[in-house]
Amino acid sequence: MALPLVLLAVGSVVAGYVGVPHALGGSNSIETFLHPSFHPAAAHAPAVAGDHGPAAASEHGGPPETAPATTAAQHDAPAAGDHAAAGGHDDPDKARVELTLMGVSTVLALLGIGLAAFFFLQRPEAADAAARHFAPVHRLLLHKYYVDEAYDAALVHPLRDGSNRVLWKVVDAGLIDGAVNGTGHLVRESAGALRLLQTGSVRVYAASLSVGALLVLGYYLAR
Amino acid sequence: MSFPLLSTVVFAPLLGALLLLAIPNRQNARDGLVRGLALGISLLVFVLTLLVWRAFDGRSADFQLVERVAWIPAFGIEYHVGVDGISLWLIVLTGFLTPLALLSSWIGIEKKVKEFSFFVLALQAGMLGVFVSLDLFLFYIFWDAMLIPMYFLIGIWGYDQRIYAAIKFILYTMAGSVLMLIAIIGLAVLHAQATGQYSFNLLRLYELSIEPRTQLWFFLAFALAFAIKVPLFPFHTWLPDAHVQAPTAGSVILAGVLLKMGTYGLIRFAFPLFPDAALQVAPFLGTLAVIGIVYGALVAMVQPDMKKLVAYSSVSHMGFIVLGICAANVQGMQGAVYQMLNHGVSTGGLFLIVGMLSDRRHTRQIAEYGGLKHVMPKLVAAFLILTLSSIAMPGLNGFVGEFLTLMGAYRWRPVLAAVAATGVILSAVYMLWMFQRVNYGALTNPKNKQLPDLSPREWAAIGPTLVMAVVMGVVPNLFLAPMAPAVDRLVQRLHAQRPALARTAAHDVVGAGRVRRAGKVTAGQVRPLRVEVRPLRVEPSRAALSLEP
Amino acid sequence: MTDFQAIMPTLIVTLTAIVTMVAESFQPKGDKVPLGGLGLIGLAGAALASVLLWGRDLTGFGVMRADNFALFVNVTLCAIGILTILFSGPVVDRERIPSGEYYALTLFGISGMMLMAGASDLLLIFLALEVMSLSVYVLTGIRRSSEKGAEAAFKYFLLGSFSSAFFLYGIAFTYAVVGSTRLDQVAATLAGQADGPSVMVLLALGLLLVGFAFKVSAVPFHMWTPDAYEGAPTVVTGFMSTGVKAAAFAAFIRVFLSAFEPLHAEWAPVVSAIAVATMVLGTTVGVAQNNVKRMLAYSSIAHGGYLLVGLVAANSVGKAGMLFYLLAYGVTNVAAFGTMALLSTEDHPHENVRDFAGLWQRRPVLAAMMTVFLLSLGGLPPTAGFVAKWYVFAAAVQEGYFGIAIIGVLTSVISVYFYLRIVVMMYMSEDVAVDPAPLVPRSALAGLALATAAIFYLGVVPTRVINLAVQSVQGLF
Repeated sequence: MALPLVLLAVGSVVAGYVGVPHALGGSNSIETFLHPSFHPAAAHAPAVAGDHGPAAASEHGGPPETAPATTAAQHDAPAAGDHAAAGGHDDPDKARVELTLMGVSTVLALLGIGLAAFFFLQRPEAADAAARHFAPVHRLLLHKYYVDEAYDAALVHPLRDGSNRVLWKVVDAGLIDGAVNGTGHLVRESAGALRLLQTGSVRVYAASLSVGALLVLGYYLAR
Repeated sequence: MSFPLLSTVVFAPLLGALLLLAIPNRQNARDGLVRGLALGISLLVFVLTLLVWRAFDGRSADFQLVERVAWIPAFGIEYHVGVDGISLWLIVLTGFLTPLALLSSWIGIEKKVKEFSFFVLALQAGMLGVFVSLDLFLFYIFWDAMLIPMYFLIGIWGYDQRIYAAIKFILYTMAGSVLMLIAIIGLAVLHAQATGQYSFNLLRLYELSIEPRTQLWFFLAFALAFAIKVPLFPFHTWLPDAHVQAPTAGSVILAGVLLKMGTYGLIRFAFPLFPDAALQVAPFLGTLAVIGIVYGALVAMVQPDMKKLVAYSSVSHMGFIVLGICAANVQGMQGAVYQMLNHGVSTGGLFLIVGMLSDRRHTRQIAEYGGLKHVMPKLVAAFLILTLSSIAMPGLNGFVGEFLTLMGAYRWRPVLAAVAATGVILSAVYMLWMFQRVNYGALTNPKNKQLPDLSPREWAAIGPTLVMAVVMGVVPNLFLAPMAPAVDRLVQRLHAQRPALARTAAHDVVGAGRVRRAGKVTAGQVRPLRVEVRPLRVEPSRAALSLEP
Repeated sequence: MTDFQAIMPTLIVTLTAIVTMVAESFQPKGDKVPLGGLGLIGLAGAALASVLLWGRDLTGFGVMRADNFALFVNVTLCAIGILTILFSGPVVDRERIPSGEYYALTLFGISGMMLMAGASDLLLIFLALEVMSLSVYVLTGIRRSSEKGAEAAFKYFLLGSFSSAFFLYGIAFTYAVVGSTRLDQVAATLAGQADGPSVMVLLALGLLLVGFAFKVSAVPFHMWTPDAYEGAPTVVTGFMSTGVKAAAFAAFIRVFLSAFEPLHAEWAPVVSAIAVATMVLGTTVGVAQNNVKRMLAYSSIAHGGYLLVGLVAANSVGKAGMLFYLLAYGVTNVAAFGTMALLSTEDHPHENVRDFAGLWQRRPVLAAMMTVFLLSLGGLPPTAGFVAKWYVFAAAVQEGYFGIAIIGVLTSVISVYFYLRIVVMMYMSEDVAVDPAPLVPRSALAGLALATAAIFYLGVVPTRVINLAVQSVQGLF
């Protein structure tokens, strides 16, 4: 089990360098990941699509990658990524927010590590004592607040059974595919019925011919 | 005239197929030769498609490597092929998947190897033809002719219910496409009414202004044909049958390339030919796409058969592509095209894996497996990568496409994007659940104890999809950049200001300024044709449309 | 002299027929004169004569046109005749059909058909119709030992006479109004009538319509078709399902699109209704057939419906489209029936769908060619059948007949179902037949190969033939 954990640890140390925050003087190298989709030419699509739904309005709430596109559209900047990078440096407010977030999360992480070190390395018996002391709480925590069970009952089972019994077997196989195959059956049934007209008797054939002739001539006489 | 590269690409597999037929193969004595030759031909075609990529100028939005020869002049029908950034990758994808499909059938196909290889190569020619055609008549010929080899592949080399599946496949698809044929003819007639000459030239027909109601009907005819092919909910029920019954090679090509012809048709034909109608109907189509995403995922989740599960997952994944197209913005369209490639790679790969398991055990029931990672770790590793690619894990190809389509959809209809996003979660549910049941846990079924791991041949088949899943996930720009100009132009065309057709929607003004010549047809070059035509509708006109060549 | 030049193709075929008949009666007992070869030479000569006459627009004896239209149909008929004779050899031997009569009747039938295609007088059309029909009646029942054949011939004859009466009445009514049976004069008189057509004219129109509708087996005048097609020797079925149809449609086009062209508004609705009924019934009932001959009989009814679509459209696209269609359909259908005929043995007619099971294993080449024929009948690219269907539907769409075109394409999807049933049997079912398959002579194989090549030629590079068809209908009026 140790090797995968080591690999994960290495990864978690390295992964961060893909995007070092601007406040620390880094730049975001993953930002241009999908560059061709957001290059300047892309920016005028929403402008043209003014009549095309609430596209423009919704952009401001979009994920971070949308923001450069919007700003690019507004300021007609040469490249979206550079523009965003420049903005990050100039704005002291932004830097403060970034630093605060980094600080809080670092402190929380260190607290967690300290707690774990205390319970697992220094005083293992303290953990057992605490568990005995707060038995109901321990059980609740041990079962992860019963979230899994709640999920199972509320989501997983209804979704699985509903998909199986209703969506697949009734809607898909019954209704939709039934309609498709039903069309085929309809053709075959009517073929079976219509072929009965072909009795083999010359009289019937002559009658059919006469009826046809009467219909044609009747049409002309009736007008 | 320069070397006709595109024609070579399209007809090389066909010539190769005919060459195979010429090899006498009594008592299957030369099966090995036939297999090797077929593989060689398909590899050669792959190299040719790569040459197309090399020759392609990624900065241009125009059609390139164009070849144009008069074919049936009485109707202005031409042999007219060309490639732009959108079709380029689909051609390469077709070239890429066909050798893999042939490799995958090395063991599974034992009877009539020669004929099998013939049909696979003929199918490839048909698919390539669809992607390069710029003449609607030519396109329809390839579109319909391609059904025949697929029909035989399913019907002869498929599983128990193969005949039912093959007939359902061909009839369902044909029923949709014949209405498109009528609309294609209608377009040519409209062109004749506007200019005095028939034309099936896509680029000329783009320039037609068509009266809204006609546009709507024609768009619906095109969209139905493509919706069945995609397949869009609720036209999807042929797909699980076809996939489950088809041999592995058939499934790989069906999922990998054939379905893309539907979405490609929407992008290349239905949307730009009838932009007003397309934008009008898009919310409806987009809703169907989203229903398909969620519905396909839910139904996939409960399938006991792996192939059927992957088939329904295709319904879900193809829904993302249609959603991106309907968004009709740059991100949506690019995401759609990219997702077409992804789905080809990852679902093609998944079908290869399922085929390998099925080659070993002759069953595809999930319940028959379990704990496979103990006996074949390599296969399971490949399986894992493709599974993660299919559920769009960042770093693999699926993420890029789904992200872009969802982004495009969000900018268009946030609600649809939100519902579609649940499909991302559900895809993780059904794929990982299947993966877990097949590969993890204890090895319970004794029949699985002695299964051999991947053979070198199987590595050769599955390896390229793994590489592509990673490459496309890490350097998407390599693929996105050449398609960007074409996508931009397409989006601009869709949203271009058109001379206020909708406002003057005077349905009953028939013939008001109907025929106004605008530009003579000059062979060899395509000048944009500005047809300033007021509402135009197809009416029985006894106006003399001379047919003299 | 131009009189004789104009009727040269017909003349050659008729003379060949007479020579064939005489040759048989003079041949020594036990000796075999290759009568089929004689017929082939005659038909090739007639085709050559037609090609040489191309573009000269001659008229013989005032009533027999040798315009491009007639010549195009002549070549089509020669192709049908040549293929029929190529397939007939083994059949005639196997079924012990008197060969002199058989070939002579076939050739007489073709000469009647050619007359029909060129005749520009209603009475001559009637005569030609009878020459053709009588030959075909006899051919239907030529297997004297076959009860089915006798019954089929009798039914065909009775109903055919019935319909001929309608046709003749139509001619009489026309004469009563116009005072002539010549098509050009009919056209002139009808075009000159300012205050709409009289009841008399409409009745004449209706009666002629009934007569033609019977010959092209349009619904509801089609009832004889399945029985006659099933009872006739298979190779004859191929001949009459194509030759008769081609000739009847040629005359139909000439009469309705030249003489009665001024009344298009009057007959178009009726013909549309018949066309729709024919397409729908032909394809639908075809689905329920297990006997392939009957199945193809319904298929040929349906094809008549598609041809009628071109007639309804009545534009130059439609006319040229019908000519192309007749050629494509003629070659394909003769070859399809021919394949069946060649696969039959003396005691086992190769007629049931099940008989085709596993044919691919036994006869891969024949199965492949049969598949091509069936796909062409179903109208799938890249075969002649696709271009033909596309052509007539294009004509309909051009005139705004979207409804008919849509019904046409949808029914053709239904028809694909039953064509594919045979393909399924040949390729996807286990081999069940036990009796050794008959030997197929090289000449017949060559005929099938020729037909296959023609189907792909017409399907992939139809340019030349389309141009010829367009030229053919330009001189029609």
